[in-house]
Amino acid sequence: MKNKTAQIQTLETIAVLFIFFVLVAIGLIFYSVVLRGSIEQQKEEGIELTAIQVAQRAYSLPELQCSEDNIVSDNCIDILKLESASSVIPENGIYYYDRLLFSTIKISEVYPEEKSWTLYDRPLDDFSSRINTQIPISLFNPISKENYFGVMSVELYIR
Amino acid sequence: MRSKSAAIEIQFNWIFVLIIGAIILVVFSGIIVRQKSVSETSKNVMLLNSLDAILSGSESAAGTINIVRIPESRIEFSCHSYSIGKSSKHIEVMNVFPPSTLEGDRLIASTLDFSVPYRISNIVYLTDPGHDYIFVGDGEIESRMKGLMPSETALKEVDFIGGAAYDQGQVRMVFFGGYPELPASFANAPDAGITALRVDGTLSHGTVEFYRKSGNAFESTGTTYYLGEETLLGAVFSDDISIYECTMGSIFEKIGIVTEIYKSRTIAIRDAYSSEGNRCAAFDDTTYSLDNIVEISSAAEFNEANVARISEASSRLRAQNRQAQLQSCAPIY
Repeated sequence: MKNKTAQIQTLETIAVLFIFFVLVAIGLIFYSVVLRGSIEQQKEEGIELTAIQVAQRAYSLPELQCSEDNIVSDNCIDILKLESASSVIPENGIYYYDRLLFSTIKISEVYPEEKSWTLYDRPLDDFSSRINTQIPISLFNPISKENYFGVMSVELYIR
Repeated sequence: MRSKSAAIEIQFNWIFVLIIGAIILVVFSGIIVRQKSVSETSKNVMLLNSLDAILSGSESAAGTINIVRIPESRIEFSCHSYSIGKSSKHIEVMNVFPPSTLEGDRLIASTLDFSVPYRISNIVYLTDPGHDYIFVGDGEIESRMKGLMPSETALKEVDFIGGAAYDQGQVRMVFFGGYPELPASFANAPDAGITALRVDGTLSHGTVEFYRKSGNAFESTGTTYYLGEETLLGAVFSDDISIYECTMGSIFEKIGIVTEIYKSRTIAIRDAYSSEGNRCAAFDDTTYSLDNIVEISSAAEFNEANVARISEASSRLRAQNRQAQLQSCAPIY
């Protein structure tokens, strides 16, 4: 009789422990789900930050910016520099990869004429996300001293 | 018989409690240790990404000084990479002049525009408030360098080196002209973190010799070159000659790329003026001469001879650009 009571007590303890571990496991699963959600959010923010960085780098390339005696005009791209850069930058793709990653950078004149230059083209075939940033710019012709309307398009590919 | 059975029962209970207690302890300790390691790695990766964003943001705007608060950490720089703990990040294009280590909870990031004479890139200078800078000497270069140092850095000026006192932390002594001497107050200071630089040249170009403390004296770690005040300031911030030369290599590579763009641009200006029959076409062989641009383009490798060639061609190109402006023609840059 005494032996049976002891067995019941042991079984009770095991049951309590089992429930305890089940609760701990549920807690851990819940925590990991919340943590995964938070990591996903951080990853999303990281991708957006990278897209902004690449657009910022492309936008502020001295190879493109309008300047007179090294005084830079904001939101302006020199057409003569752009025409040269569209052949020089692809020749130095490895140098620019570090700054512009897997992206495609295009500059388009939208008014008065419609023209387009591809400045950098290194797309990714198996990307998991693609972010396109459009920046309105002014295109300056230093010979005729005329300004045209244009758009810089920065498309970033994330693996 | 009964008391023996009770004794076995009590012993079994204790052993059972001990085993389960040990399992619980091991499981929770494992979770804590793993979580700590994950959190540490996550903090380091976050900091590396933040540093990348800081460098990227600083690069885009010249003439800025940013004091950035970061979690207390130690960042180690080397040629083409930087690391925090076990996490590291590769940077192919170095246009930053950092010391070999940064420690603390604040970073000072400043930028300057580098031109030869057209804009090449914005250069980023990194330091922390724990770095002391001591400028020894007087003259034009010293006074210009003092003006370029961010006001947030701990800069001390002394007329003679004996006047410098060791406080603590990392100290960089810059000797304008004279050979480095270790002040008496530094004799007992640790060798690590105490470095010196000897500057010999003008504001346009010259040589810099890097030193590190070894016992009671400074020991040379190598001599290299600077081009313009911006890269001389880089030698003040970078205490390791290999990091300095690595950044200079990237800058010279960029000089080559940007010069190719300016060469094509100048040819396009000449062609446009010729085809239009514009009066500016008369300056094809003078104002729009390609000689100096070609000279810079052919000197896009970091060495002593090329530093001097770029410096001289750069001042001649500046005069050409001034002529273009005076003639109301399109400037070269």
